[in-house]
Amino acid sequence: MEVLFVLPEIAIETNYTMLALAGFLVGYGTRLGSGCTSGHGVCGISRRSPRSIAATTVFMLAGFMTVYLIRHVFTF
Amino acid sequence: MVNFLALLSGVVFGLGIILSGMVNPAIVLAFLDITGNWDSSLLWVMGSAVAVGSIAFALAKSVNTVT
Repeated sequence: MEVLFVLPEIAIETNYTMLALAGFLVGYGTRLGSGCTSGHGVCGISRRSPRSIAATTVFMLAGFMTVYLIRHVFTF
Repeated sequence: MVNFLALLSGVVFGLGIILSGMVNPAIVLAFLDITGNWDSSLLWVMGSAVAVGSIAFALAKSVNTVT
C-alpha cells in the first residue's frame, strides 16, 4: 500500500521558455487536430476511426522526427 | 451518475499514467528516440489501453443508448 503514495521521480532537462513554447504547441496542435494523443490514440483507435488512426500516425511521426533532429542533428 | 463515472474514468486514467511512468517526460522522449536508446514502454501502455478501450466501445455500441 505504501508504494502507491510515492510519486514518481520526474526528470525535466529543458528550460522554462522551451517548456512554455512546447506546451503552447501541444495545445494549438490538439485544437487543430480535434483531439490529443490520448483522445485519438486511445479512444479513437479503439473505435477504429480512420481520422484517429491518421492523427496518431502523424503525432508519432512528428514526435520521432523532432526528437531525432533535436537529439542527433542539431544538438543544442 | 454520469458525472461520477466521468470522475472515476479520469482518476483511473491518471493513476494509469502515473503507475506506468508515462508522467515522466524522459520515458516518453526515450520512446520517441528511435535511433538512440529506444524505450518501448509507451507502446505497451497504449496497446493495453486500446485493448481495454476496444472492448469498452464495442460493448457501449451494442447497448444502444447514449454513447
